[in-house]
Parts: sequence; structure tokens; C-alpha cells
Amino acid sequence: MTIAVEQLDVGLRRRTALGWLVTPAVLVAVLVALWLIVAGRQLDSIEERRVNLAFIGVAAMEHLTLTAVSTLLVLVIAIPLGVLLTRPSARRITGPALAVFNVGQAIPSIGLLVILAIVWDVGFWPAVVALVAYSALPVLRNTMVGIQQVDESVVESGRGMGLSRLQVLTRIELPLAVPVILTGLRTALVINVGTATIAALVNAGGFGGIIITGLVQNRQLVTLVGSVLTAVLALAIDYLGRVAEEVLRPRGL
Amino acid sequence: MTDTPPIKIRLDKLVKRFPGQARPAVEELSLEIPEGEILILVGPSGCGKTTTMKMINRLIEPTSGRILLDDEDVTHGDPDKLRRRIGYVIQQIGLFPHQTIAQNIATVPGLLGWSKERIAARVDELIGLVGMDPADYRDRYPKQLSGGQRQRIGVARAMSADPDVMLMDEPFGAIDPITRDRLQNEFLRLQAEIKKTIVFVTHDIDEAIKMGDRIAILREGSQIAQFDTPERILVNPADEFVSDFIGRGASLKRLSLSRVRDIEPSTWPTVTVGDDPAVARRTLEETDRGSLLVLDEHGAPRSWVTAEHLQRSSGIDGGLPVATVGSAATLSDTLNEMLTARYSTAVVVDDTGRYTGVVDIDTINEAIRGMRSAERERQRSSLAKGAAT
Amino acid sequence: MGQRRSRVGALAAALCTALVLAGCGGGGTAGPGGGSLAAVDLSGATFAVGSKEFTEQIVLGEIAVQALQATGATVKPLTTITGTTNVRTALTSGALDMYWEYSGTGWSTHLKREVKDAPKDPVQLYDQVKQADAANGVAWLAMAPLNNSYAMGISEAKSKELNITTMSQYATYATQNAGQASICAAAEFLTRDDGLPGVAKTYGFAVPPVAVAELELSLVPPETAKAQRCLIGEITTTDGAVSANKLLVLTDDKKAFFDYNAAMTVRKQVLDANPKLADVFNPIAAKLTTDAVRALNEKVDVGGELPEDVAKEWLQQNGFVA
Repeated sequence: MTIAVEQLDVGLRRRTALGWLVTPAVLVAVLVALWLIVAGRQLDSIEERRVNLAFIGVAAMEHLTLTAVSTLLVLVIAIPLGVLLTRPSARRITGPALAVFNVGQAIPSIGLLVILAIVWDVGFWPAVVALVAYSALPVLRNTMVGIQQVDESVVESGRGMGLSRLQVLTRIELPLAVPVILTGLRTALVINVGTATIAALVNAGGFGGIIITGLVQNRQLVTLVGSVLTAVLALAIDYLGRVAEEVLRPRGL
Repeated sequence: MTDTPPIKIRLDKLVKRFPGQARPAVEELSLEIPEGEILILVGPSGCGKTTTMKMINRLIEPTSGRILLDDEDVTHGDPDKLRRRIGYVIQQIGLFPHQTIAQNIATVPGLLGWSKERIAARVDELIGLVGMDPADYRDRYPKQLSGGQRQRIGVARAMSADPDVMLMDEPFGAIDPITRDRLQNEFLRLQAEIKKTIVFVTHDIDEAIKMGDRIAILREGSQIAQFDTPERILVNPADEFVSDFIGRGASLKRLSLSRVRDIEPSTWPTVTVGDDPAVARRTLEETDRGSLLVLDEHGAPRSWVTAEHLQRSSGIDGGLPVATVGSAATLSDTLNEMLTARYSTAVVVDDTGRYTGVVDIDTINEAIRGMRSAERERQRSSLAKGAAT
Repeated sequence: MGQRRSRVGALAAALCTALVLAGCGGGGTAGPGGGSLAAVDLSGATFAVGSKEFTEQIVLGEIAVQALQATGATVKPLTTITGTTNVRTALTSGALDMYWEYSGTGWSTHLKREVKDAPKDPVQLYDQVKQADAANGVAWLAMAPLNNSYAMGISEAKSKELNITTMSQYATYATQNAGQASICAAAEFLTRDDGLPGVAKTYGFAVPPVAVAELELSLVPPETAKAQRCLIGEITTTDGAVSANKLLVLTDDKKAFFDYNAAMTVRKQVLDANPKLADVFNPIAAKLTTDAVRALNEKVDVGGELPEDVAKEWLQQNGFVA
């Protein structure tokens, strides 16, 4: 999993205000184009059942909820665990812990969903579990790397001047790890948007329902609508993530 | 030993053994560090000097032995509290990049519960103390500072809670020689005012000689090869290890420790600018020197003149340029001036620039002879004392 | 003496003739290769045989593949493409030469005709589809009795508890208990005109979206059996999962689901070049009854047998191959 650590030059902001407007403008343009394409076509009964504002609206909410809840869970699970695993006392469990998360990402999400459907249930929560299993690893790894990449001399000088281990963690290591951790979270969010398309297979809704219908019924327009909406959502979330990274990055870094 | 102040730090049989190592990094080291002095720990790489220093503030916990600070045993007990009483400077400095200079410096006072006003005042005081403008630098971030500036702030930060003791691990090692020289001088000037007890680790014997009040030359296992003042180590190295470590040029290094004001300069016949050339020529004939020193109306040296110059010109002017040194200059700097000047003679001037004497190669030789005989005298008397007790 | 010999001789001759005649009959006993298909010669021909993604189609596809191989033809199986429309497109575009299709699917999906206009009689429906599809270059071989129509299944427990055995009874229950009459189905059934939308119209009930659980096809029978997330679920009449999950098939008393009789559909050029294909598949189609095929599906879905083994066994049992 790659970790993106972005370097600032001496100026404290990377982009001009204008630069930040490009992505939203492009996304809005894509949505408008899509709407024009759909409006210009006479939809048949099958297409009409999925490509309508009501259905799309509900699907969007479901998709967002899936993404948000699973990412929140990943945040709560993977970040504290990542911090713990960087502590010297955790050296022995680091290997097994990472192996578990690796497995979670290696198992195909669809397979995991079906297994959960059989032994547990279908619906929102099993879908969330599958999403969490898939996207937890990048957040865990980025948290660990984020803390480990903090300059050793900064940590040493902090300890040397009398900061306790906990104070060093909260005042120095975590703030300096924030950019890398946030990048990991953003990655997880975008992954979840894509993976959540399979939630439609277990009655958890989302844009997947549109895409699957288009594929199975061989209606290209439906497939296009579902795919473009998913992509736009992913890019929008990625954009918001970058904004958050920029705002939350400590000054001076 | 005579003339030592009270002992600030006592290391009692400190041992540090790292797991998996055959030989301990520090083998039963005992050391007494006097108050208000700079103690240099110097030695080859891997001798254990940094490990020893880090045991004083327990960043490395000793395997056995005791550390006493002001006669208080601090070997056990809360290490974080101990470290807040001790300033700590490392080579890479480690300023917190996400905090301003002011926030960096305010760290320890904040931990100790100082009031906001007191902290702010202290921050400004310290920035000024290390030669920077508080208003300008207080709110800057470390990445906006140059290497030398970061070093100064690192020192300022270490002094923020006004600790009695400071530990410095090659603090000037990572900067260019010119800046390093300047920072060393400034630090010495500062220490003359504040008189802290400083344990200073370096691998550079020249830095050790320049900065230290006392030097402990360490060999492998942090064993003391010699523990003494720089002068005595240079004049009387304890064994081959020490003299190898000092390297060639011990005498020249010795010269860097004495200043012009410490010795007796010689005199030189002078004339003043407005004088009658005929009188000057007669003065020149009467001396056994080849030239005269020309002074201006204020007594500041202008040039050297020879018989030729006096014959040619109608007044006393022209001549060869002079090299001058102030009374605070080290003898080694003076020797440098002499070697580049004509006549291998440097003119000593006071604070206003007036001639007070000259230093030539004979003066230097006299000085060295004097140091050696003083050292022999000292050794003889301490042996006698030892025999008497 | 002479009279006895001639009577024995005549009897023997009659017996021999009878035996020979029996041996030459359709579906009869061995020629030298074994099985009645050995008598059809399609050696040298190559056929691409497709099927849809569910068990029955896979088994039928295997039957077709092995049947053609018994005639000496070379077969390229393309047995799993998902979605009716995709398989059909593969046929009309030439990627496939033949696959088993259903009359009802032909009517509504391929010919795009209204479900309400379809003949209620299965044979009439088949004939009209066959006639119309010829214009599309697709030939329909003989129709099988097998009728794999959509149906709604319910768990046996719930059926007893709520006394629902027909679709009308379900419709009544659904109208009276709006949120409780939930349905499990896959995307295709939910969006097809002859799927849930058509059924709801025929029986006059409405299911709010929240009471519809959209699932992956294979998850529908188990979820219907659990009866927590849905009361009834989309099934097909020959589905092996029906008995595997102990589901009851609700009677389609108002005939919302029309007939889906299986028949081999072949691209016209392929059939014209190899008219003997009819001799291969028409006898087979005659033997494919709903019960027989459901039993095959059960063997695969419940018994865990391999489709190719099940197909082979059936062909052997019915004397098509040795």
C-alpha cells in the first residue's frame, strides 16, 4: 500500500484559492453532462425503474451512509491500534496484528459478504463489516508509518527535556503524524466508496443496484449512470479529504 | 585537588551493559563534576561518552551505579521530573517543527506551571540572549530559520527553565566551521555570565580544548584516560593514548589557550609621524633593530620604517604595513598574524588602538618556557604534598 | 416333420424381425457406438454452446454439449454468461451458435411484447414466438414440457402460520399488512416488466420499497427460508434450492407468470448448415419434463453433484448415450 506524504515548500499553503475550485467545477460539469445525456433519451420501462431521481437519491444516501459509517469504524479501530503497535511494548504482537488486517484486505469482499450472509445476516451491518475489513489495512499502516516517520531527534529532544512518553505521543508524535494518517483515511474513504457498490447484493442499497441492473439487463445507459455517479462520489470525497488534510495539517510543516 | 568549586554532579561507579553486548558500554565510571564549569567528555567514536552523558538525565538507565545531583541520589525516582531540571541539547537540535519558536522555548516552563506572563517574558529574554530579535523570531517556525539560528534556539530552549545543569551532545557538530566558531565564542561569553554546570560531549579535541574548563578523555568502555584542565593535559599527557588523541601540535594548541594579556610583551623603538627625520635616523642607528615603528598623533601604529625609507623621504611617512592584535587575542592567532606580517612581529594595541607593545617569536618562546616550568613546579609541589601526608 | 420346421422357422423369423425392428426404433438400443445419438452423424462440425448462469441452464448446457459430442461434433462450451440479454446478444452476434431459451423470455425480453398480450396456452405461446423469432435469424427447435417459470416461494413454516398457499392469498395479506409482506429478489426480477412489477399489477398489491430486499440471486432462497427479512422470495419452479430450503411454491392462480417452456434456440445459418441438429435436440426436449429437470437441479444444488455428471447420468438413463 503506498503512503503519500506530501512535502510543503517554505510557503505555508500549497495551492491558491483558485486551484481548489478546479475539482468541484469538473465534478459539477460531469454531473450536468450526465443529466443532459439521460434527459435527452427516452427511457424504457426497465431503465426507468432505476434511472430516476427518487431512486438515485435514495441510493446516494445509502451509499454515503455505508461509506461514512464504515470509515468511522475504521478510524476508531485502526488508528488507536496503529498507535499502540508503534509502542515498544507491542513489538511481539505487531506481526500477527498486521497479518489479520492483511487477510481482511486479501479476502475478496464479495466472498466475505456471502459468508457473512450465510453465518450471520444480510443488510447494512454485514456490508459495513466487509467494508471495514477491506479498508482497515491502509489506515493502520499509515498510522504506524506516520508515527514512525517522525524525526527521531525531535522525539529525543522532547524526552530529554522532560516530556513523559504520553506527552511526547500527544504533543509531538501524533500532531506530526497527522498528515500521513489523514492521507490513509482519505484512501480508505475512497476505497469504501468503490467497494460499497457490492452492498446492493445484500440489500444494503447504494449505487451498486444501478450498476448491477445495467449489467444484468444489458442496458448501457443504466450502467453508465451508476458508474459515473459512483466515480463522482469517490472523487468528491477524495477532494473533501484533501481539503481536510490541508486545513488540519499543522502549521510549520 | 586545589581550586575546585563544590561538586554539582557525582557519578558513582556507573555501569551500562546493553543486551547482547560482550563488553559494557560504560565500565564502572566514577566522576565528579564541579559546579559552574564546562566538563568535556571527549574520546574516539564508540568510547561511550554519549551513553555516559545520557545516563546523567537517565535517557539511558544505568545497569548499576548511582547518579548524585547536588548530593541527591536521582538514580531512581521519576526520570521525567529529573529531566525538567536539566537542559538538553543534541546535535540535530530537534526543534518541534509544528510549533513556533516561542512555543518551543515555552515547553518546559509550561510543564513546570509558570504563568503565561512569566513564560512570555522568559521567551523574549532567551531569544535576545542568544543574539536574535524576539519580535522578529518569536512567531516563526523552525523551518524558516537557518542552521545556525536553529542551534541558538536549541540552546535557548534548553535554558528556558533556568536549569543549573545542561547536557550538550555535540551541539555544534552539524554546522559549518565559521558559524561553529562564532557560536562557540558566543556560548563561552554566555557561560561567563550565567555560570551553569555543563557536561559537553564532543569527538573534536580542538573544540574540547577551546570550550572546556575540565576535560575527561575517555577510552573504550568510557574509561577515563585523563581527567584534568586543558592546559595540563596538553603539557603533560598521561599516556600514549592521550597524546595520540591530542595529535601533533600540542604546543600550538597550547598557544590557543593563552592570550596576549597573559604574557609580557616586548617593546620596540618608536617614532611619531611629525618627528624630525634626522632624529629618527639617529634613533635607528642607536638601536640594534632594523626598523622603527611609526605611530600617529594618537599613538596608533602606522608603519615600519627602515633606514632606506628615512633616507629617501623628507618626512616620516610611508613604510611597511603593520599587523596588530588586541590584548584578548590568543597566542595562536597572534602567531598567525606574525607569520603573515613582515618582520614576524605583531604590534599589540589596547582598546583604543594605541600601541602597548609587540609580540615576536622570542616573546612566544618565553611564554612557552614559562608554561612548562610552571607545570613542573606544580607537579613537584603536589608530589611533595603527597609525600608529606 | 416338414410342417414343424416351417412353423419354428416362421416363429424364429418373426422373433428376429421383431428384435431387429425394436433395435431400429427411436430411443432404442445400441448401435456400435452405444446410445441413440451415435446414430446421428455430425462429425467434423464445430458448435459453440452457451447457457445462462443458474444451475438448470448449466445442466441443460452440459446435456447439449455431451449430446453433440456423442454425435462426433466438436463443441466449444461457453456455459456461464450472466444475464439473459447478454447470452442472447452473443447468439445473434455469432459468438454463440445455440443455447436453451424459454418461450416466455423470448416473448417479453427478446421480442419485447407485452406480457398481457401473451397467449395463455403454452403451445400457442411457443408457436408465436418461434414464428416471430425466425425474422431475427433465430430458429427454435422442439419445445420441452419443462416449464421453468418464475414463481414466488414461501417458507413452509410461514405458509402454515399465515395460511398462504396461493398468490391471491399473499396479495390479500400484503394489502392488509403493508410493511410486513416483504419480498426478497435479485436485480433482474425487480426490474423486468414480467418480474415483480408485472406480478404486483396482476394481483393488485403494492410493496413499499422498504419491504423489498434486493439480494444476490443465490442468497434469495436461504433468506426466504429464514423468513426474517422477507416473507416471500423470487424462485423458479424447477429450482433445486426450493426443496433444499424447504420452500413452498405459491400457486399462480391468476397466471401472472406466464409460461417458460424450454427449447433449444439455434442461429438460423447454423441450423441450415446442420439440419441434423433437430434430430439431436427434439428427442431430448421431449424427455425434459418439469419434474425431471427439478430432480436434476436438486442433485446439483442439494446433493452437491457436478453438473457434468448429472447430465451424463440423465443422458445414459434415457438411452441417448451409452
